[in-house]
Amino acid sequence: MFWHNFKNCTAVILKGKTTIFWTLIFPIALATFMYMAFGNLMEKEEMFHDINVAVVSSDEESQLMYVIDSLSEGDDSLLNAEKMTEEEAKKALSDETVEGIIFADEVRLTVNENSADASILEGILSSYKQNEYAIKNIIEEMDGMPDEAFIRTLTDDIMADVSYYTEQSVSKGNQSLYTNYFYAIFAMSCLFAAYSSITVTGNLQANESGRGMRKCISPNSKLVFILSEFFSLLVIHSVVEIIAFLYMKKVLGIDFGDKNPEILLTLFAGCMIGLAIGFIIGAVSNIGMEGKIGIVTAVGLGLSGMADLFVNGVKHAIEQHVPIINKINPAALITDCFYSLNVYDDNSVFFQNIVIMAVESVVLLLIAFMMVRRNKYASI
Amino acid sequence: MSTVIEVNNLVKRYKDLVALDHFSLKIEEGEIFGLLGPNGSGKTTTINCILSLLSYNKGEIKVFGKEMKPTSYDAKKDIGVVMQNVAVFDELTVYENIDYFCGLYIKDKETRKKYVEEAIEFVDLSDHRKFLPKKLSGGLLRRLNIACGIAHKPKLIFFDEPTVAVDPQSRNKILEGIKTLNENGATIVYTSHYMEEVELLCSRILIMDKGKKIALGTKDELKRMIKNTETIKVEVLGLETDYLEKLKKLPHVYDAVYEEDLLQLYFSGGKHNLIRVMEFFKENDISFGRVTTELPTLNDVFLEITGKELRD
Ligand SMILES: Nc1ncnc2c1ncn2[C@@H]1O[C@H](COP(=O)(O)OP(=O)(O)O)[C@@H](O)[C@H]1O
Ligand SMILES: [Mg+2]
Repeated sequence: MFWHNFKNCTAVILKGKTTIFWTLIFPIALATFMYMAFGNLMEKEEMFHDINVAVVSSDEESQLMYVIDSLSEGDDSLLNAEKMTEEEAKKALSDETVEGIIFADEVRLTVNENSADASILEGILSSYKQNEYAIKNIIEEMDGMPDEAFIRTLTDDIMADVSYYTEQSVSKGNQSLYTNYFYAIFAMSCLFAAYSSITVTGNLQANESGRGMRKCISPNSKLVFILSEFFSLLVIHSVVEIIAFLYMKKVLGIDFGDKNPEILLTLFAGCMIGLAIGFIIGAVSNIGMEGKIGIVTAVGLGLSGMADLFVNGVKHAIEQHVPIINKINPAALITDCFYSLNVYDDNSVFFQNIVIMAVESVVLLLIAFMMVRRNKYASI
Repeated sequence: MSTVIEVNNLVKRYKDLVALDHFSLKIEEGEIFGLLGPNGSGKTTTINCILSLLSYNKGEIKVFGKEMKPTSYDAKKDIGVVMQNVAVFDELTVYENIDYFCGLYIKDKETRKKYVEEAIEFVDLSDHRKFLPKKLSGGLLRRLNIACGIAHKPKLIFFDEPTVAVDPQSRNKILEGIKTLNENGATIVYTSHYMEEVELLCSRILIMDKGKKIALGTKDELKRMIKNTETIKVEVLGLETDYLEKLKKLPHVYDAVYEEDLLQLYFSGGKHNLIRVMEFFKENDISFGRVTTELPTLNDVFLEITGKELRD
């Protein structure tokens, strides 16, 4: 039964053509438009470089010094900090050999207003100030010697913050900031896989179609129908995303880095959660196909909007006020997967996001099953 | 013979509308059971309740002797339904549609293949097996709908108005087919608002209106329930009222109507009614046109019990 229904669902979607056409055309067309729009910018954009900064400090062991040191270390350093006296620093600033001066004792910044990097320095300081209290506590607890891992997370946080403030990628990878927009396309097209789900659930509900009636009167459990159709759509949409990915990578030549398996896993998990959301919406009876299309569109755009896919800053605002939303919003999880693959060497954040999406999908599917299981309808 | 379907005191409401009002029926194995009623009388609602598709407010439903529930897979295995509205996948061909729906019942591939072929043969769609539904005419589409409902060789088959909007040729094929299915052992529940079909096909008929049972029996039993046994119609120009009054007094006549040059005489019993009418015309030297005599139909039964025509 599982395979029989799996094959049928696959055939119906593929032969239906419209669904598959639009799900495929959406990411490809959008990517092409963006590529044409950004084409020149993408080439001209300079890779991120360390910012020269002068540091004036009387205390080698201050908390800010730890952070500055850590931001100046390693391959992915953000700063090139040099200790100077106040006079030396001022001279360096006026000579433009440094972009700014950090007065560590007062946590104050003087920047060359014309400098392009001024906003990043301001970002670092303001992010530091926001976390100052927490940092102070922790450093005191640790008896003045914070450990490596702690400083590491702290600087990662600051880097992430800074990229919000400045709308610039501070990644040291080879990727340009425009790559983020292509990630956004993936997130949206994964969420819009939900359109296929509602087509399929419409064919499963007796009150929505005669086909659904036939399925309901057959001697089979709804769970088998739901699972087989879910997996059929999962395969179809994963292939669609892979095609879109290959198109962007090979044809448009967009550099997605070298973590291909992880990217594919992200797309797979993205399709899973997008489809599961569609199954829930599809399982609601009595709102009709138009209603469902409307809800899928609204949910897709809403979640994408909350994940900064249209305007920057929303996700950050959410992070400040209701951070849990970013931990469950699939659009945020998908873009965060890409982002973390790009920024962190270590994949733990990435895997955490994947697991959250998988768990959400299972929960949503179970709820959808509960909703359609009661297969007696009040009205047909 | 065993009881296949038993419905007791079924009540189904759609919000304020009472679609089934303490409705009961019992269908025996091997019957072609007719549910006859005008549009909106509750035929489809009855079927959907029996199939456990619809929830209902009150009553009991047993199929094959067991309470029917959405999870009564054992019973569902042996049920086939030909729905009122064509229910197929527009994306799939004739063959693929039948194969898919048959596969919801028949797991074994070889058996399924055989059954699908037989179903295609049965509804005479062999030349159209690769056609998409949208390329089929109304009649052929109905036949595909039938094939999808019966390919798995069910023991109990519901036909919900299978001949609506079907050309006479397809219609005859469908009716013949239903007879064959019954001869091969299937119990049939057939709904229609066409009394001629029901009369032709069904071993027992339940007439319903507004969700209630009005009458139940074989067609002869039903006709015996009413006063009318014969209606004689005579085309005659300018019949005088005198004569009409005299005609009303002929033996066995219980009513006579003269409208638009047509005389209608209603009889209850009597063996030589037509001869008596002809003699009356001869004696009084009245010239007349066409004469017809009609036996009562189920429409008359419906008319006499409900006071309205069966047809819409
Ligand atoms: N889903 C529904 N919602 C509200 N009323 C309905 C619904 N389905 C049927 N009805 C009403 O219930 C009555 C019986 O309908 P139905 O069973 O379809 O009759 P039939 O099949 O004999 O034509 C009709 O009055 C119809 O208007
Ligand atoms: Mg009906």
